[in-house]
Amino acid sequence: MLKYISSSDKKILLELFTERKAIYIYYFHEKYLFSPAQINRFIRNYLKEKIISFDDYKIKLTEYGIKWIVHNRRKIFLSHNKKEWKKIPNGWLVKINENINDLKLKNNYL
Amino acid sequence: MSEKINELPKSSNKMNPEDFIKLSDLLKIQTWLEDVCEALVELWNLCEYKNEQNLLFELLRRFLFLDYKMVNKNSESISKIICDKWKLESQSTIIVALCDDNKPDGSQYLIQILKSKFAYRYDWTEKNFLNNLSTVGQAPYHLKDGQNLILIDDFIGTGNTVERRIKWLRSKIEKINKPDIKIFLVSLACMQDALNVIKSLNIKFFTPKILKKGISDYYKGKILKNNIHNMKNLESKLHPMYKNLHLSNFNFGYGKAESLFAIEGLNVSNNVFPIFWWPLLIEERERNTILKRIR
Repeated sequence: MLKYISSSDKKILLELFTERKAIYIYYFHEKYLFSPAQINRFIRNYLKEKIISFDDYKIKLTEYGIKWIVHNRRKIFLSHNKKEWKKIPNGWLVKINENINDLKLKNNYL
Repeated sequence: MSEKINELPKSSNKMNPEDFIKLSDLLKIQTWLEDVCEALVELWNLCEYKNEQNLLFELLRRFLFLDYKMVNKNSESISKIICDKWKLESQSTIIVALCDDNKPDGSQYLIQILKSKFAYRYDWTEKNFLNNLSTVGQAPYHLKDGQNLILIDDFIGTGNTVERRIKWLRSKIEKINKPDIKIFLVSLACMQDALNVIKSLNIKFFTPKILKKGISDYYKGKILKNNIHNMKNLESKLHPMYKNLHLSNFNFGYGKAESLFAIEGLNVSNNVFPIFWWPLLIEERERNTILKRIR
């Protein structure tokens, strides 16, 4: 069972899902600069799950793979690894030497 | 699906389709290279000619890389040889790592893994295992008449280290006048050429893997000559000195062993071709290597 879908996996899955045809592995290197290791790991993991077929250096989604993507579309395409919402905007940060009371004076709305 | 693993890095440069496919083929056979793909590409690009790349492909294709699972499995077979084939009993047997100084090495890694394989054999205890050859004899029960001493090492390249340490041990046994002590030897892997050295020591030996020389034992005639030339050409791109080590002592691996062997996470043996681990290029530039060795 797949424990984690990497960002390169997601891009390859999206390409395979939209194109619905066998894609030559070099295409992913040429377009996204994915390394042979990234592509090799993708092939190994997704072949094992029968999500893709691999023949003559070309990858294609299986029938099951198409259904699997539809079923897991939120996890694959809507989840972001970088939790942007967790980042604190620069203006909201207090410098270590700054007095919290001085900050109150600066920000009238507090 | 949320568990995060280390994401592999992208390529820093675009490769041509032929190289990309060739490296993909190699990664399919040797999946451990995935984690060092950047170093692999760097190694690939170090080659001036296709013949050099073809040689590296062949050497890496045949490379024996033991991951933890394989070490574990081989340790299991070593324990079976000791107990079921050699029929050595716990009361009269001590298993000793071949390490003889204060520097940690692969023999200590192996003895730590091997120890657990004896857990279900009731009579064996921690007392049966020593992590340093120099400690043999410190307790009176180590060297008594009828004792069996099993020396273990992770890898035997030329056999010279083993020979030296067994001679030292024998002289120690002679000094205390206990002729009835038997010495055995086991290792995870051993070069075929070292077998003669071990045979001359007249001891029982077991290894699950016997390895041939990476170039000399695989090619003949003109192809052999060409591949020796290819490797010499590749090694000429390495700096002749690194931290007071002379590359000339390690050409084709220490003792010209031509080894193609490594254990996951351990310092690679100096018997391995230096092109896979020597960290400095001729122009005094550090290089990213697929295998690591600390000096």
